[in-house]
Amino acid sequence: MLLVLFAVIVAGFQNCSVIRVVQVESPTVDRAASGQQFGNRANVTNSLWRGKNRYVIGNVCPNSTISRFKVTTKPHDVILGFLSLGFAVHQRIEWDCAQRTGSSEIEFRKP
Amino acid sequence: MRPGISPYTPDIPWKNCHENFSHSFSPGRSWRLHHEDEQLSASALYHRATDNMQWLIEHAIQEGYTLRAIGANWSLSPVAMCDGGMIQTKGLDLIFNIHDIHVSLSYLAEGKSSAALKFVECGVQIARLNKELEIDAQPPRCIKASGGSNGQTIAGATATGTHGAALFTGAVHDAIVGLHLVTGPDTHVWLERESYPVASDAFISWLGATPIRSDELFNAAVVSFGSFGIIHGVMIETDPLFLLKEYRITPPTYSTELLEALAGLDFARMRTLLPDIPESTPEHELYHMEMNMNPYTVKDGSGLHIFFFYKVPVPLGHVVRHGGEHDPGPSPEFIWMMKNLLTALGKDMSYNHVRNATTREFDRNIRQGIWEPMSIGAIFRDTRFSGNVASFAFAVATQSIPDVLHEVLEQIGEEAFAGAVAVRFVKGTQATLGFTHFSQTCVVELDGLDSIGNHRVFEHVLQRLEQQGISFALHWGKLQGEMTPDRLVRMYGSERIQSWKTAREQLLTLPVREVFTNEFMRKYGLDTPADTLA
Repeated sequence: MLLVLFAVIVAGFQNCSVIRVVQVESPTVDRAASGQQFGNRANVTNSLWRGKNRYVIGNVCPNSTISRFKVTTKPHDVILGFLSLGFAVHQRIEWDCAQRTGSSEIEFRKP
Repeated sequence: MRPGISPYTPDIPWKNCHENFSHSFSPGRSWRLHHEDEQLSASALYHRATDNMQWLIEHAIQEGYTLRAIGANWSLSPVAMCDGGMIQTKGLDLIFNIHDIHVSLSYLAEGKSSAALKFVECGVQIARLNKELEIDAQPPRCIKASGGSNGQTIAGATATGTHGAALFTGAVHDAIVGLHLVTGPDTHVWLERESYPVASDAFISWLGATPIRSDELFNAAVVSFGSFGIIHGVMIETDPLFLLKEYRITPPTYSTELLEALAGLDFARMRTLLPDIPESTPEHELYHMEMNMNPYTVKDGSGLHIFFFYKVPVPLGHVVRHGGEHDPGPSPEFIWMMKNLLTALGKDMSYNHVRNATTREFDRNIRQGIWEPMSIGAIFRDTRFSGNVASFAFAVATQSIPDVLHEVLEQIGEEAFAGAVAVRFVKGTQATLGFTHFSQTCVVELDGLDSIGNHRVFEHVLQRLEQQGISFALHWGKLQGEMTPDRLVRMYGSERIQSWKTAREQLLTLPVREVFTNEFMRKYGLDTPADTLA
């Protein structure tokens, strides 16, 4: 019975994550991901004691532009952060790169 | 690995964008094409991608697996799925400007301008194309017709017949006037209509493609859902930028008279019945017409809305904006919960729940009216629904719409349908297997939850139409119901199917046809030789 209760609590934690999706002006995405999933992801560990927690993702995109990104913090990450006195807060970052902008001119091939 | 190709590992199971089905591709058979090389010019990147497509076809023939190009993964049907692998093309996102040197003399002699044309690579999303045309181009232009949203790639929207509701213009693919088609390991062709040649020899020479001018081949290939090799680029005709002004009429009654007027596109009679419908003039021209109805209340005189968009000129100082608030609609979680609830309740118990829930949700989920004139790119934007949503659509001749709606509403009167019914009016297409092939077409859409009950309603509606001898054709990119060769013949007739198959045989060799044959085609009998009827 306790095991079931524990499983329910864990499942609840897994499904009650804090999720923020930020979509920038261009809704274009450079690759088809499965379903509503994002094309790129990374796990990062932040610290509440650091002034800035920086993870540069722009360079990963071929056109240096992203279309949207999502940051997920699971409840157990919050607990871990609490237990570590704020030194280790895990977050999951997912993002899609955007398609390029602008148009090109046709250049005829040299003979 | 060759530059411009990366191996790709699709998720298992792979889900389409709208998450209404999943699929498993064979491991190690999928690829992503891209332009990740800043040293090369746009032209060089395009040529490299053509070469890479040919290399992938060769690889598939040698290794004996099937392939399908996939764009935004937008279709609700498994039309783009296959047993082998996928080629992801969304990284192929170039748009080329077209000038007089790229255009045939006959095109210019007709008084047309090369500025009306863009050569667009297959992976370009409609959203990017809209931005390029409406915001970045000088002078601004716009696509002639759009679907309801903007996430599809141009090749995907073309290949599946994305339609919109431009009743005198046609579907998205009706603005496509040339196709650059990669047809084999050492072949690629420039395909355009003999009756409407567009490209100059210089342009075709730039592509390095073999020119083919044939109405029959072009009409077959333009809507071919990935079965004719890989569409690498399309030439699209655009219009000078116009804005759309919306009017929304809520008729007080759902009458036979109104339906007959709609069926005959008799606007004089419609204005007699609905005096609020504005006049169509050259500066204020009717462009788009659609009906949205709650199937449970429409006969009682409520739950029917008719949307009109009129083309109007762009006023001085107008700034096109594609940003703004996202209109989210119901959350996937809500839909998921409702779907499961309805499935658990069973048929008898669920009918009233479905009817009440649908009626409650109908007005809440009707798109907000757009009262300021806006551009196509600003109106037809993000898809509002995702996750566990079923979208089912079929085309019928506009004159049969009273009978069709009678059958649809009768079926929903007997069997619960969790969703709404819409009718969009669109000019017929010349595409051989374009599903909007009736000279004046109505696309009837049943959009709702992805539940077993709704799927049953879809199939029963089709059976009713067949029993009544009403011709219809199913949207390639949406749910299909029962897919059989017999049904395909009823939808298109033997002659069209034979013509499509013959065109495929002329353009692709047998080994290449095998690479691009999938289960979707087999179910409809489109994989068999042209001389054996479907």
